[in-house]
Amino acid sequence: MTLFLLISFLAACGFGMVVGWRARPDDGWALAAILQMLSSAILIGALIVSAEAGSAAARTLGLLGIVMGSAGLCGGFVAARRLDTPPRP
Amino acid sequence: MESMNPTILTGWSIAALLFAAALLAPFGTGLRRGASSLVAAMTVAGAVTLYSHDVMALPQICAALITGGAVGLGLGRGLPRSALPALLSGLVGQAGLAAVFIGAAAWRNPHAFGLLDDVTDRLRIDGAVAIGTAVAWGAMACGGAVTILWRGSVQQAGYPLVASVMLLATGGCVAVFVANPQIGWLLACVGVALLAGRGLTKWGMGPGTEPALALVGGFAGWAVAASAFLMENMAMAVAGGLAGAAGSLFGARLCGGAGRKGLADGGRRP
Repeated sequence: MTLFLLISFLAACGFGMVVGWRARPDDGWALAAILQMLSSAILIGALIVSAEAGSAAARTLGLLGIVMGSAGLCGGFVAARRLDTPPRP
Repeated sequence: MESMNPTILTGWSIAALLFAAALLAPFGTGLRRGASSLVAAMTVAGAVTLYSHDVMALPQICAALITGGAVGLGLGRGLPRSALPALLSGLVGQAGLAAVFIGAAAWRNPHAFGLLDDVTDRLRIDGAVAIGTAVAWGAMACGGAVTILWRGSVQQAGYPLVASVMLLATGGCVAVFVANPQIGWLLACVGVALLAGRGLTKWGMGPGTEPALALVGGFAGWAVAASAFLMENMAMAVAGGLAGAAGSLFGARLCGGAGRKGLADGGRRP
């Protein structure tokens, strides 16, 4: 399982390096918006913690992580759509 | 390698492809499509996660998901357009803080995640490495986001040497935590990593706020990747690897010696 994870992770790193290397400076905000939404994948980890944790403290931390990850995903989605829309005059 | 459930493997693969497609979406004109791909990927990954685990607290989880979604939608729609960069900074820092919480939860309750050694009943080394790394990168993202929010659009370069020393100190704290997994060393990791994130982000704010934010997004991506190894989740590993590598390299390119020069071939999109 760890080997499978490592291979997937390294492949993703290679792909991400290609994108990071070829992105133009003008793409800064668009890339930042996509990176923010990608980092919201921490929501999945928080789901696992909340689902599996036995102690109340660990579950509370997991639920806080879910709130933060969900807010990041939804807020990032709306922010990305607004950034893509030309500003009104 | 142990055999894996084909449903889970298929779900993870679809989520990974959607994550990659979102990063490939042409910037400028395809941001909306990329954001939609990311939401689809997260939905698939979340559904597979709930399918593959024995969920003990589904009502609380649903309540947390709805609460967070409502807060995010309210912030995203309610803030003026000029405040969107600050919102993105805050949300990246929030993802880093969530990684710190996940690492702390795994440290608090290691047997639930299979992190204890069967013989010695101590935290396994790979588990301690994953916890320390996730917490450190998460705290760095948090410190960097606070620095961006605090300094706003003021562009003043920091000192790369100080940032490098703090980064090395963070690595040292993680190594000590791996050798002696006590709460004191975990807190030390958080404190030193906050300072390292602050120093690196100050260095990144020299050329502008965008590369600094990309750098902080890269920190949060590495935190997600470390959490993926803690939770053994492929979708998280792919998302974290993509965000970490792309953000760190883009930020380093723009903040490094080249600055905004030497990027003439950047017009060729991947």
